[in-house]
Amino acid sequence: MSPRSLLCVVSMPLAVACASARAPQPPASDESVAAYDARNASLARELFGIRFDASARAESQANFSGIHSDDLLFSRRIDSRTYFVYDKRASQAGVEYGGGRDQLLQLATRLLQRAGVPASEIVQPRILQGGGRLGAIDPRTKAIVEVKSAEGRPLALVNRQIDGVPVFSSRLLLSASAEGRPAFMELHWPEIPKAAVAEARRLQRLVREGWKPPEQPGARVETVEAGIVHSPAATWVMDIVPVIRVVYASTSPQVGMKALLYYDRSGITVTPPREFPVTAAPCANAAKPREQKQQKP
Amino acid sequence: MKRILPVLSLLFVLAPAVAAAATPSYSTGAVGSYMANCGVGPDLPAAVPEAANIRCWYSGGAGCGSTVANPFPLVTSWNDGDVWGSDFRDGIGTADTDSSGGSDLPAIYFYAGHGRCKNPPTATSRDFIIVCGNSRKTDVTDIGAFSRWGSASGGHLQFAFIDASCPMDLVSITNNWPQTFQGLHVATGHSGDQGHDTLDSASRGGQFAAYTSGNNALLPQLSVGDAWMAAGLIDVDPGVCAVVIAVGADAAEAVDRRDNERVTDGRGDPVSNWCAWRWVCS
Repeated sequence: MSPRSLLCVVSMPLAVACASARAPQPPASDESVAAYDARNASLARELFGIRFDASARAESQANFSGIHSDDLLFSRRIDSRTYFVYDKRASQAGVEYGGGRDQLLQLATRLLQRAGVPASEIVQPRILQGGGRLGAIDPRTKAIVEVKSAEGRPLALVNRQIDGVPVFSSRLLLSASAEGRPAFMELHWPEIPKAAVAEARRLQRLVREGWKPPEQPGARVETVEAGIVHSPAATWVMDIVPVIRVVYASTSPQVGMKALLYYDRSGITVTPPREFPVTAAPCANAAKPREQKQQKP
Repeated sequence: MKRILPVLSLLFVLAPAVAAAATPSYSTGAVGSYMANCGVGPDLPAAVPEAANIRCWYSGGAGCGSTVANPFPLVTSWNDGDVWGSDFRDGIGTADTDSSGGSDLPAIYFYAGHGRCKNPPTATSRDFIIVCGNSRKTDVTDIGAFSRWGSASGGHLQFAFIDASCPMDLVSITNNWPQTFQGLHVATGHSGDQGHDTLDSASRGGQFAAYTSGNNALLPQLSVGDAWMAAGLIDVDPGVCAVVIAVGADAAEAVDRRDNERVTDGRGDPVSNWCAWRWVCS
């Protein structure tokens, strides 16, 4: 079935689901839309402590399913262990989780465990370093004449490995409300086929044995690492590919942004995981080159 | 067609206030090909797909295999040599409002391509956009010196998304960015150095667009700042920082825009009395 044909939006008031959220989950044999929505409400509550009121709506669209109200969202992918939580009010309040940064990390680990993530796959839970500043602009010179601190909300990030194989694209990104519930959460931890892990381990062995990446013009190889890449969290498809990941830096100090290329065991370039089933994105321009004009200063 | 394109673009531009409230107009400029025409590298093969992913989230359509709730009007979507350095410069005439692709034409402009990292940057370092135009030579724009975006400079840009190398170094941000805000609301970029740089990525821009568009009820619509903090660190070296900057008439407004303004808010243009920026590092 094509993703386009899957694009049947099922939307309904959540009164049934909310009622179900206070009641036992419907039996697994119940495959009705109402039962499905009620299970989403239960998941939101049991995994992430989110409760919706009667104004919330259940909805399914292609490979996404979830519940949302004006200020609260819980959604998940049906083709991946992927969850989104967004509490708009908590995010805009800008109040840091009262439990502190260590507790934010503990919350991150707890949420992963509740979502069924094996502890062995959790790597490097950490608070991302960051900050914020505020400056007054001199109206005449446009220079900043006064700077003071204006911090943002801390973010926790957790990466993934499977049996020593890095899964570059999986992650948990989390900020918390003052009460310790997720304010924003992207938990993207798809199930990885064993065959993909096995191939990634073979690629690791190749790298250890001195596999040489193809040269790229104007660039030098900076890092070579085998692992698994997959489609990002907000995507309509889920590609999962074992790869050798090579970072190339420019040979010129005058040019930045490094190239990132993926290779298979034969050294053939692997297309990065897709976001959309096709890539013929809308284009505003004609196929012909842009008309050359006089060089502007 | 050459004559029609500017007219179509102008139609979007002439009604920015109407479009901004719900459906901001936007353009993408992606440069992946550098070696063949300009002799510098590496090429960035993910830049053009990255811009395509953005357009799928902002506009949708059959070409993406998906529809979106509220398609944003697309003004221009040039790639490679058709992205010109003058598109980013507020020079004599109408450089950055050039009807065939200036960055100051739409409400949102997303650039993907090379920039330049310093090693290390200092307070007087400059920030750059580097393209390889049809003129077959590298064209470098010094952002702080030549980029001026928004209504006060005769343009329309509200959101400048610069996915390049170190276009927003923290140590020099106060020298390079406040003057670019001439009605511009919010800008995003990265801070780093030559050892800590962004990687060419089709996902970073796509996920940023997914989180900013509000075009899927089952995805969070984040503020520009929050979306960049969430997506800006995809495919970057350790130590790279995603940076967002905004201005306002007073301190509270600058912080509010930095933290909470969405591309679909339809807010009016800010007065640049205060500047607020924040960052998160990998």
